[in-house]
Parts: sequence; C-alpha cells; structure tokens
Amino acid sequence: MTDLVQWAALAPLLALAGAFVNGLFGRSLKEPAPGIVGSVAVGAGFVLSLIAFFGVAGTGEAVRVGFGDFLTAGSFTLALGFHLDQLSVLMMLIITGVGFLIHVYSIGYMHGDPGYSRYFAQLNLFVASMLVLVMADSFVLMFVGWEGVGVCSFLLIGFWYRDLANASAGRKAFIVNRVGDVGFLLAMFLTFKVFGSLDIQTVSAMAPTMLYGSAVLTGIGLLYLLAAAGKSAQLPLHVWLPDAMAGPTPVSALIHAATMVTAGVYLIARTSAVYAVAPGALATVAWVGVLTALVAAIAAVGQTDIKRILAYSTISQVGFMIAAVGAGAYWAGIFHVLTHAFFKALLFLGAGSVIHALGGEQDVRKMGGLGRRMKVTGTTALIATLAIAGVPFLSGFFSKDAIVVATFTSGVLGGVGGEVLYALLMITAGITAFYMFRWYYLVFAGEERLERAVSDKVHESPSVMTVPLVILAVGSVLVGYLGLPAFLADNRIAAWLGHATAAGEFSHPSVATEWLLLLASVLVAFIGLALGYWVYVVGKGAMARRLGNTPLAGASRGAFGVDALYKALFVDTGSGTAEAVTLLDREVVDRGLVGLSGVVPLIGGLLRRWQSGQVRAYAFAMLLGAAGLLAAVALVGVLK
Amino acid sequence: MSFPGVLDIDWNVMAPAVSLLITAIVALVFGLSARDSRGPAAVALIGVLTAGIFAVAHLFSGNESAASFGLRYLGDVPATALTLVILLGTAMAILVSWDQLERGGMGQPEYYPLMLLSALGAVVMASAGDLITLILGLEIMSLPAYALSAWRTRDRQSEEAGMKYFLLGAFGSAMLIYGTALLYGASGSFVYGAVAAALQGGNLTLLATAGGALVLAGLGFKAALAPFHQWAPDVYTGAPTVVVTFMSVVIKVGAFAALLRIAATVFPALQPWLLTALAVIVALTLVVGNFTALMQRGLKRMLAYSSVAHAGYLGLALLAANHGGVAAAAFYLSVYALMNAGAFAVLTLVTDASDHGDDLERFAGLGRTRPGLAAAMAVFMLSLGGIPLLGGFTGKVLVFQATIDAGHVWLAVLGIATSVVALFYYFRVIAYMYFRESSHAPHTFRSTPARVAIAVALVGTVLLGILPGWWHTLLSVGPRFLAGY
Amino acid sequence: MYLEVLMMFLAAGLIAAAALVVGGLLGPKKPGEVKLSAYESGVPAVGSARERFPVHFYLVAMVFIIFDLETAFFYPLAVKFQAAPQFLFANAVIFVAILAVGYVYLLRKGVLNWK
Repeated sequence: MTDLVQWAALAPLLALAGAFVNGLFGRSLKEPAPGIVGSVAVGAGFVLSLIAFFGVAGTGEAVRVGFGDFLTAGSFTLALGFHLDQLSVLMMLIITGVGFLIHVYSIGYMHGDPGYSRYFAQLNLFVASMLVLVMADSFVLMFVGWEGVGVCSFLLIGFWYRDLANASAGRKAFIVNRVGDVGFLLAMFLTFKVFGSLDIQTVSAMAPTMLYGSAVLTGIGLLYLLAAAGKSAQLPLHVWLPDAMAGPTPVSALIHAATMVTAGVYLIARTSAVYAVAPGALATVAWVGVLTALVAAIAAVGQTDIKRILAYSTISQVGFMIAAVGAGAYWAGIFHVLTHAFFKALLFLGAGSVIHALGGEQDVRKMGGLGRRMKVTGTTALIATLAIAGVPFLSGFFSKDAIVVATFTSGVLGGVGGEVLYALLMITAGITAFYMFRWYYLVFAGEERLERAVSDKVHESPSVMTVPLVILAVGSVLVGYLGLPAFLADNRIAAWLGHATAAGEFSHPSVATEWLLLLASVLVAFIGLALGYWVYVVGKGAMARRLGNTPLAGASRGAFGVDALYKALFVDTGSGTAEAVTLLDREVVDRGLVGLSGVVPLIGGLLRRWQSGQVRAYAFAMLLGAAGLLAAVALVGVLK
Repeated sequence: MSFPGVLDIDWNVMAPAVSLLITAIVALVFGLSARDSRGPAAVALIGVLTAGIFAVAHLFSGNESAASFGLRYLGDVPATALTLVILLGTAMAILVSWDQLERGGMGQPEYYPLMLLSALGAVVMASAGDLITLILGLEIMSLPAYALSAWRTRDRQSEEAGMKYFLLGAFGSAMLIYGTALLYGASGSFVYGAVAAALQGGNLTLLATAGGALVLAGLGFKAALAPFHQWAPDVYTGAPTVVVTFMSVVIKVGAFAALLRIAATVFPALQPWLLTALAVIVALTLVVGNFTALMQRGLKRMLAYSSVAHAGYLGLALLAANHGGVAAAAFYLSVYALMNAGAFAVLTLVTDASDHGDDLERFAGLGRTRPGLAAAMAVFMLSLGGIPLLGGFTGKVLVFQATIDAGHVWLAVLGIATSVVALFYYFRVIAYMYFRESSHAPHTFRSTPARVAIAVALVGTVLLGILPGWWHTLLSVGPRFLAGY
Repeated sequence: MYLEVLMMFLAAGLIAAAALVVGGLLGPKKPGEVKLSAYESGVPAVGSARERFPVHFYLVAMVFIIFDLETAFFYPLAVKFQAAPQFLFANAVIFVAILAVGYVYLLRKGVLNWK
C-alpha cells in the first residue's frame, strides 16, 4: 500500500505537465482541448489523491516520498520530499476534487475567451503549486508552493489585464501578500535558529521538548500568523481579497474561496506542535480569526456586488477557521476548510453562472427572481446559502458548530476569553445567515429588477457548468456528516486529523450543555434568516404599498412600522455600520498599506537625489566612507 | 640573496591565466588582419574555453593545496571555482558581443583582447595569495575595463562613463594601495597568512586595522558596496550594454574573490570592530541598492542598482567568511553570473543598436511578440528576486544561513526584508512583459550567439536551483581556505 | 629610529632655503624687459597654452615610456641575474616577446608614421 501511496507524488507533476502543455502548445489547440487537458491533469491528480487517502487510511501511517538531499551546508541539511499524512491527503482531496470540478466548469465559463489556453495553463500551475504547498515536508518546499500560489493568484487576478483596475487589483494582492511572506521567511529562519532544522516533522517532534511559552516560540508563532494572515486575508491584511474578485469567477471560486485562502489555516494546523508550546501566539491567532470574522461579516451586509458579498463572506468564514485553529481545535478548522470548499465554491460558481447569464452584470440591485429562470443554479445556490447560514443537517452547520463549541471549551483562551470569543462568533454566525439570506433573495427570489436588454437573454448555463454545481451541492449537504458532534456519534474527521496535528486542551462539558450549545447554534442561524426574511420580504411588501400611495398606506405604516424600523435599523444604522466598516477598511487599512508603498518610493527618492552624476560628489562620498572607517580606527585607538 | 618560493611554479595552477594571456596576444595580432570583429571573438572564445578546461581539470585533480610563487598565487578550490565563474562570465559576454559590436558600430578588433586581459586580471585577483599579487590583478582587471566602458567612442555618455570610472577607479586603487602599505608596515609581510600570523598578539593591530579598512574601501569600490557604489549606476548606464554584461559579472566576481580571502584570513587578526563597520556597510548597501532600484524606469539602471543590492547579499557572506560563507558566496557568485549576464543578454536584444531604449515600456508585450525571450527574462528576474527552485533563491538561502551561523541575525533579517522589496522591481519587468500591450511592435534584434548565451544562463540558473547540491558540495570540499600560511 | 629621516628632511629644507636667501642677497639686480617676461622653455609666451596637440604626440610619448620601462626592468634583472640564471633569462625572453608583439602591433597600426 505504501508503494501505491507514493504515486501521489505525481499529482503536482501531472498538473505541472498540464500547465506546460497548455502554456507551450495551447495556442495551437482548438478550443475545448486546453480545458480538457487541464481538467484531465487535475482529475488524474484526484484519483492519485484518493489512492493516497485509502493508503494512509489503511495503515494509519504517514508516508514520506523523498527526493534526496537538496543542499548540505555546514550544520544545515535540507532534504526535499513530500509528507503524506492524514492532513495533507485530505487537503489534496479538496484541492484536486474541487479543483477538477472548477476546471470542468471553466470549460464552459471561459468559452470564447482569447486567453483560453493561458487561463488553463495558469490554473493548472496553481493546482500544482497548491499541492506542493500542502504536500511539502519542509518549510522550504512549502515556501515554494506558497510563492507559487501567490504568483498564480497575481496572474489570474490580473487575467483580463487590459482593464487597468484588474491589473492594479492583482498588484494589490501581490503587495499585501509580500507582507505575509516576510513573516513566513522570518519565521522560517527563526525556526531554523531554534530547532536547527527546517523539516516540519523534525520540528514538530522537537517542539514539545522546548521551553513552554518562551518568547522565541511565541515569536515564531506570531510570524507564522502574519504569513497566514497575508495568504488567508485576515485582519489587517484582508484588504486584497475583495479586489481580487476582478479575476474570472472560477478563479475566485478555486483560489480565493476553496483553496489558497485556506493555506494559512493549513499552515497553522501543520505547525500545531509549535503552537502547542506557544499558547500566547495561539490565543492571538484565535482573536485575529474572530475579529476578522465579525468585521468581514458586517461589511458583507453593505455590499451590492454579487461577488464582493461573497468575498467578504469568505474573509469572514476563513476567520472562523483561523479562530478554530487558534482555539486548538485544528480538526475543526480543517473540517470547516472542507465544508467551506464545497459551499463557497458552489456559491461562487452560482454567481459566475448568473454573471454569465446576465452578460457581465454584477450588481445585485439589478437582479432578482432569477431562481425561476435558472432552476439548477437557483436550487444549488439555495442549498449553499442554507449550508453557509448554518441550517441544521447541512455541512456548514456541523463545522461551524464545532468551531463555536471549541472556542467555548478551549483551555488555551482562558476562562472569560473563550466565552467572549464564543459570543462574538455567535453574533457573527447570525449576521452570516442574515447577509446570505439577503444575497440569495436579491439575486434569485423576489421581483425581477433586470434591465430589459439583459432580461431577454437570461438563460440557464450549459450542462458543463451546471453538472459541477450539482456535484458541489451534493457535497455541501453530505460532507458535514464526517464530523458529527462527538457526543452524538463518532467524529470521524477529528479522529482522522488527530494523527497529524497536536492535541488541543479542552474542557468537557456535560451532555446537557452540549445540547444547549447545539441548540443555540441552530437558533442563531434561524434568527439571522428570519431577520433577513422580515427585512427583505415583509419589509419590501410594506414599502411597495407605501410607494403605491394607497389609502391603506398610513394604517400599514402605523400597524407594521416596518418601514421606519427597516430604514432606521438597516438603511441608517445597519448599512451605516457596514459603510463605516467598509470605509474604515478602505480609508484606513487600505490607505495605510498604500501609504506604506508610498514610503518606499520616498526613501528611494531620497537615495536617488544622492546620485547626482558628478564625479567629485562621488569621490567625496568615497572619501567620506574611507574617512569614516579611519575615524573609527582613530576613535578606537584613543579609547583604548 | 635568494628568492623564497618564487621559483616554484605549478603550471596546473597557472594554466588558466597563461591561456588567457596568450589568447589575448593572439587575438590582438589576429585582429590586425581580421575583416570584422567576429574572427577575434572566435579566437577569444576558444581561449576562454581552453582556460576553462584547464581550470576544470585542476578543480577535479583534487590537488587543493597547489600554489605557485610560494603561496602568492593559489590554486585552491575557491580560487579555481571562481576562476571558472569568471571564465563563464567572459564567455557569455563574448557571445553577447558577437553580433552586437558590428550592429552598434563598435567593431574595433582590440575589444576582445582587452576583455580577455580584464578577465585575466580578475583571475589573478581570485588566485592572489598576497597583497602585491592582488594589486597587480586589480590593475590588470581595471585598466582594460576603463577603456571598454568608453568603447562607444562617438557617444558622450559612454565617454563620460569611461572617464568617471577611470577617475574614481584610480581613487579606489589608491586606497587599496595605501591600505596595503599600512598592512605591510604593521606586519612586515604581504602574504595574507603571514600578515595574519605576524599580527597575532602584536601591538600594531591599530595600524593594521586602518590598513584593513582602506583595503576594504578600495575593494569595496570595485565590488560596488555602499558608500563606494555610486560609480556603478552611472557607468552601467553609459557604457555599452555588452560591456556592462562583462563588467557586472567579472569585475564583481574578481573583487569579491579577493575580499572573501582577505575577510577569511586577514580580518580575523584585526580589531573586531572592523567587522562591525563591514556590517554597517553591508546593511547600507542592502538598503541603498534595493530601494533605489525600486525607483528606476530604465532597465539598465535598475539592473545596475540590483547589482549593488546583490553586492550587499554577497557582503553578508563576507561577514560569515569562516562559517561557510566562502562556499555560499562562491555559489551565489556562480548563480549571479548566470542570471545577471542572462538578463543583460536579453536587454541587448531588446534595446536599440545605440543601447538607448531600455525603458520598461520597451518590454511591454514582449510576452507575445518574443515568448521565448520573455520567458527567459522572467526566469532571470524571478531568480534575481530569489523565488524558490531557481538558483537565486538557493544562493540567498546559503548566504542567510551562513550569516545566521556567524551570529549576525539582524543582518539576515534585513537581508530577508530587503529581498522582499527587491521582488517589486523584478516583478515589474514581468508585469510589463505580460500585462502590457505595446502601441508599437517591439523591434528586437536576433543573434544566435546571444541566444546560446541566454540558453546557457537559463539552463544554469534552473539547474543550480533544482540541483544545487553537487556544485555546493564541490565548493565546500578541500581545506577551509588556502591562505598562505 | 626615524630621527635620521627627520634630520634629512630638515637638512634638505635648510639647504633649499639657504640657496634662495643667499642668492637673493648676493645676486646683482639689473631688471630688463626680457628678464621680467615669463620664461617658457625658451619659447616666447605667445597665445594660449591650451592648444590642441596632435593625438599622435601622446601616442609616441606612450610608446617611448613603455620601451623606456623595458630598460628599467632589465636593471634589477642584471643585478640579481646570478641568483637564478635560467629562470631570469626565461623571464626576460617572455617579457621581450610580449613587448615585441606590441611593437609589431603598433607598426601595423601605423603609430610611427608621422604624416
């Protein structure tokens, strides 16, 4: 079996081969061919991942595929290889599985685009890099994948580069990600300094022997957190993700929802052994995740672009995952990565299907009622909406419940801290249900607000696009049952990932408390949905009557009072808050980062002025340099 | 009166330098009757390859402690390996110049002999075991380079470059010679090892440290370490690009080869604050090089500042000379030679015959019009920026690792941070090639020899990125350093 | 130890100063028009000294210096020749051979043809 598992090492190579074929010969291939090449390359990777999955499941042992020593320098030996354990094969399944569906979907979505083959080449390259990232057995190789996905993301966001805004969105993502990369590199070198190795398994094995809670370990943890925040769009580095929606929608689904943005979660889960001895860093992780989840959820309420709502939602959901790993419930974080990959990819592909049908329209205020004319898209989007809202018996409910319970019972966060985080996450979960209801209602239900020219063209997407939607919808329902609450049934996913991650410290509340927490989760989801129904369905009716200016208007205003409440609460306060958050986001954080990139030219400008072009000035600088050195000699001599 | 050690000549050690000298003379005579500059180019290439064969043969002979003239001319692993790097850079420059000289109206036959002599000087510097040999090498290397940078005789910028380089170069040489004199005064010897031995426990270390500081300043000029770097951008901008291809590689390698040896042998015997001063210089170089490169629109000038920045990374290795820094720097220099020469080679094909038109705009849309050229350039930029699985990244890892081993953690941190800044300006080139449409079709020059050079650089950059082990192992074998004890 | 050197410096300075002072005191002073004019190597100071010289002039000067140095190199060689006769002889031959190539080169380039 071990021999078979080793074949999984070919998965990234296959994707890379696909990228090469499409990149070099793509232009001479007729249209569906590059898409098929790309899809087959990733599909084959999925089969290999499945083999690896069953192999690891059969023996319960991790398999290492080594490529020999890369470099030996003094005390430093770097071997390159893949480490296939429970965690990495699960991530491989997500990447290749969801990736395959999105490749197939793209065959339809990118139909007729002049950059068709370039698109598939870059998408394949992305899958290859992402696989390297999760399969790597050393931080160096992981960094290879880490940079690779960053480059592919940069290329794909700016895919339609003729539009300047898209190109600048790509650049923004690139710049913000650099900040995270500094964190990764510094963490890597600090790791080497402390552990003398960059092999992840070696570091994990040594971590428990280190001084618990020492400053340097906390430093490493915080630096990896910085890296994770950059890649996973967490506060305060989250600003690039909404703009990243400038790329083609399947790219948003694959890279900016299902896989790449979860790399930060993976990184922290992968280094869980280090975090286990750095509780301060771990608690910081939790706080970053929770605050991101809350802020992004509020911001999502105020958006009008169909994809930007989902983008903020993604930031918020990744915040949940980060909160989970921060609470020490690594399995819950990865579990949410899994479920989120399904329902968020589905939401994005649904949005893509809508945009495709409407000829590029992205404003939700100009949509509505589409569910009646796009049955498959509408139904699957409804399933995804309910899943992300946390409606019971769908996947999102189980994973989100696992996360909030974990924050409540976590031993890392301290008594009150855990409860505060729990409360914040519950509020966030309610807001999530609310804005997802709004999203679905404005797009798929209610009255049609389409422009006439667009309205005539609305059609359901071809089956190459809808079949992936259906498969993802089935997944969005079912994958949640892998991780039922432990007091109800065997939690398969927790047991599975327990082999590969450190164990968190949790209190074990009574079964009654567990039930109570579960019911609270259910309640929150329904409150959010109900609020949405009240505001958008009930409220809209009242408003319509008032606008109709019938004699009943005054009575209804008095009787219902929904208008005023709606206006006061959500038009003024609600969207006010949302606007404030968006504003804060745009003006402070965004500007701050732009400002940072403004400081850089400033320094450069000063240095440039020094370069006058005059020989005597240069000679003088050299003289000063030499004189400075000699003055230091004299000074040292005098001091002696 | 005797000649201590002067008469022992190991011809295996001397062979590369001697072949370069003979080839230079042959090329000079041959050039008198040659119709254009391609004949001398072929002669020069053959000579460089011959020298390379001698160097490889010596490198694999396992005779690491070979030396000539009583440890004044060394044939240890770093010397031979860096000789190979110099020869590689020279060969690339010859290939790049092959068609460009005629295109740019610069086909005077003396070009290749001068280039070979300059390379000879660099080889002598890399092999020097004492300060006098070092000065000889430095001058042999520099004088032809001054002439070469003014090679475009009708171009004022080129003339200005040559003049500037010559004046400042003389200034730098003077510092080196003054420093040598002080070191000799303090120790009574020129041979590195003997200098270090004489200073052990002596009371003249202050004098010697002043000498070391001046040697550092003089060689720092050639290596373009801040604040001795300001000539580099101006000379690189003014000199013909083909000459810059040569200078940016060979002169840098020569200077660092000498600096490394001195840093490993003489500096430890001096007062430790000199290393602190070196650390400050390196930090300054990293910041100045990277941040100024960020501001450039002209690619040639950007690459000039990038070469200053790379001098900073190599400077890190100087500080760790006795902690694996020598092998790390030798590795870094190998990759640097390949990727930098490759980038300049692409540049020569994109710019005008007069070397004008190196603005980034010129690269717009290159990804479609010349996909092969653009892909090669992208690889060089990524490697210069230190993206993993390319040689540049491995070089940086080795250098940072050595720096940390030597205990300069904050410098490693600065190096990492500035290398992230560096990615911006390297990526800008890629963005222009792939994300910009050009209003006019970029007219590019086609040259088969230049294409060969680019291919060699490409293969080397990737190879040293994926399989760095064999070369680094080779560089790490043998005695730590043959210092002339 | 370096006192002698210092004394030599002092003596040199004294002698120079004494020559000027004594000459100034004892010399006859009969100024005339020619004597008061600037003296430029026997050439009357007419026009600017910043004229353009033919570049050929410098070339010839350089060639002269190079071959002059050749002679300078042979002096120490001759003095120490007995220390290692074969080696030094070979040295001299190589040196002359390289210079001979240079000589052929400048002949072919026409450096010595004064038009």
